[in-house]
Amino acid sequence: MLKDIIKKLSISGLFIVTISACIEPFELDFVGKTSLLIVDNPIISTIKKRQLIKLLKTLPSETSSINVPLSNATVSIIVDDTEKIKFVESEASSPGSYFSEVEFAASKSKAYQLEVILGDGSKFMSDKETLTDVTPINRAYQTFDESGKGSHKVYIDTQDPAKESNFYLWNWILFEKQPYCRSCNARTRYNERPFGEMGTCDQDLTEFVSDSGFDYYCTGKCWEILYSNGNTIFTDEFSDGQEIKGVEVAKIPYYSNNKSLIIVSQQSINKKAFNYFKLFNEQNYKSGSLTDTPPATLISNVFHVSGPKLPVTGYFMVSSQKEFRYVINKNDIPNTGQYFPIGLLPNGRNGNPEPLGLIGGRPPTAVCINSSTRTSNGPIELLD
Amino acid sequence: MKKILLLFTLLGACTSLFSQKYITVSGSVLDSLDKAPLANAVINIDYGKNIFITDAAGKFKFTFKKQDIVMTVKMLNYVPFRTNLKTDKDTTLIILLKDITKELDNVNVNIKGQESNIKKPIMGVSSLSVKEMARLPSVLGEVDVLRSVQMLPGVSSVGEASNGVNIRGGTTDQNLVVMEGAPIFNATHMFGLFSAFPSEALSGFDLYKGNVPSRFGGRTAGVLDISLKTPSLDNQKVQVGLGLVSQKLLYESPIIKDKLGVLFAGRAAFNDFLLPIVSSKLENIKAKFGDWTGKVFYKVNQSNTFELTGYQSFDNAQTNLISGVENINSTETIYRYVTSNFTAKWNKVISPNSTIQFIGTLSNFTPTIELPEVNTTNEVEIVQNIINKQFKVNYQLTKGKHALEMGTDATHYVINPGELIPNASTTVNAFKAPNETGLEVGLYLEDEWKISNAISIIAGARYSNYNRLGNTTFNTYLEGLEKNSDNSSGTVNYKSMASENSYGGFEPRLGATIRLNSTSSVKFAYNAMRQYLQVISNTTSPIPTSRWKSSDVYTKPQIAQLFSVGFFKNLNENVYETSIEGYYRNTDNIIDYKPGASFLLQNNIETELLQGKNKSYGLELSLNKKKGELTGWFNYTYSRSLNQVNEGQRPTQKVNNGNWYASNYDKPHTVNMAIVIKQTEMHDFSFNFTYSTGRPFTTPSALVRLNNTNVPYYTERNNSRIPDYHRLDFAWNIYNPKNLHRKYKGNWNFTIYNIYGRKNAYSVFLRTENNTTQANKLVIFGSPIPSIGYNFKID
Repeated sequence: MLKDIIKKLSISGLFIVTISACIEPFELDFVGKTSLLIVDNPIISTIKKRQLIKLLKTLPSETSSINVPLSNATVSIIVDDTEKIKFVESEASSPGSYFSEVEFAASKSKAYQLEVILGDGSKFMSDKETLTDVTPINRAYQTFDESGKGSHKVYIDTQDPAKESNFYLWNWILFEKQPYCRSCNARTRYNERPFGEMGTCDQDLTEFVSDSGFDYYCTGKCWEILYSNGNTIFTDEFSDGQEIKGVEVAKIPYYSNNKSLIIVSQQSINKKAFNYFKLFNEQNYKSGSLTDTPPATLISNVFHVSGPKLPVTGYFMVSSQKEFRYVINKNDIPNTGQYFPIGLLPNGRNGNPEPLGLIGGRPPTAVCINSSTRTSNGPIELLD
Repeated sequence: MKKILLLFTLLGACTSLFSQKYITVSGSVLDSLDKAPLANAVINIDYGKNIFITDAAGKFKFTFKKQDIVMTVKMLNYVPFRTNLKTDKDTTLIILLKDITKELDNVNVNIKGQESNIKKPIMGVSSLSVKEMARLPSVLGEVDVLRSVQMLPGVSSVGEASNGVNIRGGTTDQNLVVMEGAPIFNATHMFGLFSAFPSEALSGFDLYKGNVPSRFGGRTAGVLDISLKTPSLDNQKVQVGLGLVSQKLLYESPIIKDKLGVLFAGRAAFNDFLLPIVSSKLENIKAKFGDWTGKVFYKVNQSNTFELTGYQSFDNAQTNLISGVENINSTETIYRYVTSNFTAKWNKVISPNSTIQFIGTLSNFTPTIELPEVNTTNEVEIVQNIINKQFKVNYQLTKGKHALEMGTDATHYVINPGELIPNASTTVNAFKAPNETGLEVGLYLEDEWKISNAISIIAGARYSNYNRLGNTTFNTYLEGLEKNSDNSSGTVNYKSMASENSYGGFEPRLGATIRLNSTSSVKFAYNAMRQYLQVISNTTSPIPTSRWKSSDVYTKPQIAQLFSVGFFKNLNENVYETSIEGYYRNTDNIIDYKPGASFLLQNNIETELLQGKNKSYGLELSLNKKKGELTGWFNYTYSRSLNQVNEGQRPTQKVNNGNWYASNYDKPHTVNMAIVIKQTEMHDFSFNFTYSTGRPFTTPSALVRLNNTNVPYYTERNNSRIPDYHRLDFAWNIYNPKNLHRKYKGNWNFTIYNIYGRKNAYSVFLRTENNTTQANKLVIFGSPIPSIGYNFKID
């Protein structure tokens, strides 16, 4: 009773109003005025592979911006002003994606420069970028954040080299077990295809179809592959030569009760790239505080050289990286009945499997089709 | 049984009705001072059911058929008379009405004294008493100087959580805020939600936004001069305020009657222990603050008085509305900041025409950020500090048509820009940015000369000189190139008071009045001011932990020149004051910032700063009703504030390609209205209404796809505006008239802030979540906020 009275009093006038404030969606009339070349933050890594450069172009629009893959460009990496590694567009599968003709890895003693020539003859060059070594991640660990619907925060520790300025960037890939491999819309039903191919959702007018659609379990095991949207960055300006502890590199929603695997990639970047990503993070992921800084143009290290002028965004980097694999256990979630897994279906909706036995032999299972976001070849740490 | 009771009740009522007789009320309506009869006074019976007019002899007579009536007597320029007349026999009344033109001002938002707004050769000066501030609505019942000044023309803020005010389009740090002569570097609690002044102890404030007396210097936009009460020398007083946010106490007492008195006032807000009860999600939020002041006043004799004043305010706050500190891993961020000020004054009357004042002040502001480390009990601390010591001598002489003021002051600053204290941390290194030490010396002379009955001028000048003290080492940069680490060419050491580190110049202060007649005048003013100390913050409103920086070899002092002209007209025997003022201010060397700049614990901060120009201009219209039952003001301001920053060719050396752009404080249209209705001795109520154009913010020129996410791409700063701001507030103060002459006086205060619950945007921003970018607005007070308080005092 007393608690209720205090609560009402507090709501009427105490600090809840004053310091928690509120953030609400805002209708912003947006006109996309600028046409841009987007170099999609490519990283030439120390892992030998066919390296990837993705190019897009932003077209002005009255209601928003339209981003389209930019095809037919000539893309090269110039090594030490002499050697040129050509890239070719994989037009069929992924337009605007340019892969190096040969596998190569960035090496420490060399300088790398991106050159892009568009179909209209306009030419763009990046600054010369060099590689700096990166130390390995010493350990990773987790805490359960009880705010909202609950999430796991993943932290890492790493040893910073002494007497040099170091700038770090982390991103991650997450493997979560996915029970459902296909979802069908309302009044449709999934039908298998032979030979392990993906089936189709066909219209079904029987009385057993769902108005909200059914989800179908996977045939065998399947894992969803999720990628970090932003990057975590850090500089050793206050911790030169010390072990850097407790860097929060990921905040993973409570998707399921199954253990999951996160592969954290630690990269070493230069100061200019650090400043670029600092501004990128501030104006995209940290906005909405009382201390927002004015948004500003992200100044790319790729510049227009000749031909029709087009502004550029995106940052070209050469980076060494070290990976750390960490299994997120879910046994630290408080057993208070307050937290429930949100699943891996769109918009966090619960799965709605087609009931067993409504029609003989149904429901079928769906094939786990391997792609950049799903795999049936689960990481070894998650295989029971 | 109920029906029987009802029948008896009805019968009783009917009996009473039939037993009524006709009653005659007659009398006179007279002026309260000279007892002259008032003809044509309007007598209103029972809210307009009957209206009577007094005759040429001020007499009236009417008959009615009831035992009690509500009677109101009104006449232009007189305070209305109201009574609830209960009589059962013929009655004669003598009604005395007060002439409001002969009253003292109820509301004074202009130059002090009757007609002084017409006569004095100064402009852009406002004052407001604490009594009037207390009548106006406030947030959660806290009497608030900084919110009150925002109701005056030319004063605004960026929103409800603004850490200071913007005067005529200037930044918050371009205002000098002094209390009892000592500067206050952080004038708010809770990141701007409440002013940090103990309201119970204040006597009032003067706000200078046009003519600034030459005794003030060091800031380019305005001066807010706050004064405390003088302790009572004849009797004890206790005043207590109980509110939802804070509890307040004022105690004053003579120690030696008519000689020595003391005053203590304090306010404390420790209600954050309630937060976890409301919601477990709020258990990590801390919100404690308080302030106190003590003053000793010693009247040695008729010619000499001494005053000692101490003031301290503190905050301990934690909120998710402030971003944490980058590159130090911590579980949370706690902000703690303390201001400690001390003032000593000796006033000496040399002769009936001359006085001299000696003032010494010490201001110490220490903001601290506490960062508890992950998985340990250790807290890393970041401590900053400003110690400002000033000594001032001020001499005033009145002779004939001249009123002279002259003096000198010396201000010594020591700024600790930031010290990182790891304590037991094994991951963080200790760091200390070098102290900045400076000495600012001022000399001033000003004469207010009444040339004739029609013309007065105030002419003066201040000469200020600033020196960096102590040997200082700076980085040098390649000639003609951007100052950044790539272009660093070495270091250079400057000795104390080296010419490269010294700045100074004259600051003329001029004002003139040409009196057109007894009720109107035209005024002109010119003001120049120099600023050697500023906040380095690239946020819309600086937070208390923002870094202060003094001028040095790279950071030039800000220099402002203000031109203003005005027309002043009083109406209806000074019941109404009207004015129109136009101004233009040009400020050189304003501070701006490179994209993504950070300042905390940084050496070579010049690599992050840009300097440019600001031009601000505007027109302020004001109507002020100062006397009568209804008092208040209405003002409209048109103002612009534009910046230009263009230090070089590189994109990082200019803002908006070097073109003029709207500053964060550019709000072209502002309307403020305040009404206080004091109907009886029992209560008064008031309304505030404020409207302003939304301030500028930045919208993207494209959404680009990077890292599989659509993110905004910005090209032009401040190219849009957030929605217009408007708000209506209400306050109701209830007094007990029987207590007027008693030792114990209590009153209730009921306020509603933001009556119609408008969700005014503090900011509009884009944020990327789950691969999509969404526009949002941050709302600080998005609903009506009622509050109730009880205050009592014992004389």
